[in-house]
Amino acid sequence: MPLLELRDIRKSYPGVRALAGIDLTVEAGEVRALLGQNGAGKSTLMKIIAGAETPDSGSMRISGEPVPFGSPARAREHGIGIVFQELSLIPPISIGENVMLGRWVSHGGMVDVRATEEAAATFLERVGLQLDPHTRTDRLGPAERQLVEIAKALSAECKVLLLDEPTASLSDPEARRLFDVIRDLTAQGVAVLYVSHRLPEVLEVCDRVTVLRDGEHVGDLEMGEADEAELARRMVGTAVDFVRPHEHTFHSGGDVVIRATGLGNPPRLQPVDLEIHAGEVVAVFGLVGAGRTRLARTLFGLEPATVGTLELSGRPVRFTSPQQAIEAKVGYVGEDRAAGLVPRMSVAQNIVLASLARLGSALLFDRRGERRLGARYVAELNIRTPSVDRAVGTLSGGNQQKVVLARWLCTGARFLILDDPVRGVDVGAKEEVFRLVRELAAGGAAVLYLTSELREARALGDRLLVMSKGRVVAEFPPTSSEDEIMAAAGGVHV
Amino acid sequence: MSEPVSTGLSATAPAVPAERRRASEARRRIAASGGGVGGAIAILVVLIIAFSIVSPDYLSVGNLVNILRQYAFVLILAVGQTLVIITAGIDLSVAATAALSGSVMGVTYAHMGLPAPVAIGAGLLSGFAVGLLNGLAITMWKVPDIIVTLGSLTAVRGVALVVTDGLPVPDFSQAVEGRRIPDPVAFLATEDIGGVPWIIVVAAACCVVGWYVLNKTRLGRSIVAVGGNREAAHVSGINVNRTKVAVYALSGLFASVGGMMLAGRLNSANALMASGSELDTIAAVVIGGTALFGGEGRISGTVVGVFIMGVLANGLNILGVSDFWQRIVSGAIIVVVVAVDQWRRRRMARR
Repeated sequence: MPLLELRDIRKSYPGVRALAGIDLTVEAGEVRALLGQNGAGKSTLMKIIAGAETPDSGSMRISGEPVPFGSPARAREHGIGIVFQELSLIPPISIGENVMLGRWVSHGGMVDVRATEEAAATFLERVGLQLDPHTRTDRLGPAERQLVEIAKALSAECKVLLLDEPTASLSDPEARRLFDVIRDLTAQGVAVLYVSHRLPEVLEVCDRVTVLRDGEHVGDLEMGEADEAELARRMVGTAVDFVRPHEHTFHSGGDVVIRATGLGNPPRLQPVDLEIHAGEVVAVFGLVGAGRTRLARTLFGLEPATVGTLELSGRPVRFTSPQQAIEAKVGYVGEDRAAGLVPRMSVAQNIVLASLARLGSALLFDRRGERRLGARYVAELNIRTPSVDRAVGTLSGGNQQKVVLARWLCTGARFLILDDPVRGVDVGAKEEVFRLVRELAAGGAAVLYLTSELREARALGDRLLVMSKGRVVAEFPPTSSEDEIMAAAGGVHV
Repeated sequence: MSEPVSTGLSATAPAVPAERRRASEARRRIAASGGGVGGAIAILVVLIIAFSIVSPDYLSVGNLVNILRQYAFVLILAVGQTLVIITAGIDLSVAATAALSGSVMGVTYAHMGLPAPVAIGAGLLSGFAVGLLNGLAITMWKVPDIIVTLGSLTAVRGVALVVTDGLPVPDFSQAVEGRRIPDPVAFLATEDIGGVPWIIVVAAACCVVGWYVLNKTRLGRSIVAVGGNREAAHVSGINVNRTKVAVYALSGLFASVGGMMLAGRLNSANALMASGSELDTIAAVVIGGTALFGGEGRISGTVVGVFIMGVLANGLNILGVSDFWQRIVSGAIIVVVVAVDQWRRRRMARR
């Protein structure tokens, strides 16, 4: 009998199908990788198993016993333990107390802290943590905290341990130590469900791989039968069909729209030289933590530039706030869509949000003009909404992102900074956003497209800059091979 | 169930008949536009009907006007409070500010003998100044709204005590002969026009101003955007700090109008008047369906919220319920109304 058994798990969010009938069985003592791109449904599935989300349909059994959805407490009772990306430890109390949180040893309602910490010691030992249980949690580094989290899961007698990107903040030796712990645990009969998109470590630590793509289960692989290339192909599937050979529509005859000279904020952002012409898309590729977002935010005035100069259409500018950037016809789409929209405001209201000064006077806002402009861009960008009055929060991710783009069409921006604009957007909407970006450039805008997805960078960029550790380290034509670019980025190719 | 597994993008819902879609769209729009107010109105109607059944005297024009007259002061303050709460802030200092403005007006007019317009101007200015300082402390020192206004709740009462020497204004020994409250204020606070007290007209005018700011001006858009998603407002070029300062300054201004009206009604001002009323304004705003965490709210909701509080207090009075029990019932009703509203919202969200 399998330890964990999921049947036909389905889950939809407004406009997005997150999971389309997932079946999954995991045996005791197995390490199973859950692999997929951003938005493939990994996190949703993990949350469902942990009781943090309720699926639309489906069932879950542990050792043959049905487990109800939607209750983290019930999931824990049935032996499911989860370690999220955002750790859930309470910093100012001891690691021992954290391990036993909610299950303190007590006498007549009085918590016996010493006994509690002693009880925690065995679990800390099981994860190989040689620390006094009395140690304050905020003294620990990220790797040790991760182990405390796992100890906490074990103390709840967990049989299935869910690890969500457990190595995201770990160094190589720390990750190796974590893998040892995982092996120990599986030897004790615990099943581990391991979410990651780092292929080498998946190959190293996992027994079998389940690949998800756009909410669908696209296959299980035994570890012996797959290599990195095969896994990557499965993960990406046909979703990269949009990466057709780049058509070189751009001829570098346009005026220079933006020129940055030595612009930066050392040491976090090393000085950057950048020149983008009208009609040009410059892609910036960088892995997580490479400094992409910092560059984007600095160009838009969200973070200060301490060195260097910036020119827009030949005029020197200095942005200390987004207002100034917007007045200079710069637009910005951030990586976090939720940070760009006011969910309860209507589609039209969100579209004109950066153009309020154009609508009527300070004392009488032009609401009719607002709806008219909204309707115009809804039509122009093919934003799928029943009406311009609909709250933007009810739209699908792709359509929300188009609303953010529409906002900058509305201001007439000539320089667009797009930071990972299609993260978590479903495939079809992605293609539409890409087409829009190309159209904007064709219309004479200068576009800076920052992304951690190499395929996007190559598909969209007329030129490709690579960032690593806060600096631009290389420039490539989009025809360069992925391996070359990847090597420059100093990362592992996903 | 052997429904064929659809691929890619075709995972959208099956086609819904057009008229059903339109109906659900209309329902959603109603919910989005005035759901909170609708719920509060329903509760108001239930309360009025219930009291009318128990006490036949209850439902008379005279009584309703009376309720409004008594609660006009709270309503005036609650208008400013509504704007503040929509930006996801809170102004605990409104009642103290009202007491200060009433006192400043009284002292400048009755003790210092300045002309009525100057005294009224000084009253308005003092409220505006308190609001401005609240806004500046919140935005420049980055102290949470609730802490700043909690501080000014106490400090502003202190200023009012200093201004009045802790004595009711006018004070015998200091007053200019025959002066109490400036005539225009006394007139608006106490006289009627065709059976409608002027103070109700003043409160209504404040509501119109608040509604206009919220719905017809650029500032109003900024208020909703800042409360709905501060970060999004910021990257859209909205000056978040200026919006917050403006809202607190407006709240101070409304509080000063309320404070002067209250002084007019009492025919006297003192530094400790309206103690605790800030909580009434917050309760009224929340009962009226404005989200306590910002981004959503309406002046009409606040009007209904004030009405509910007034109707409740008045009805319990007429029934002869003791003040002790009135407090218990009033407190419980606030929680129940908001609980019902939350339940309704959750149900709507599920659709």
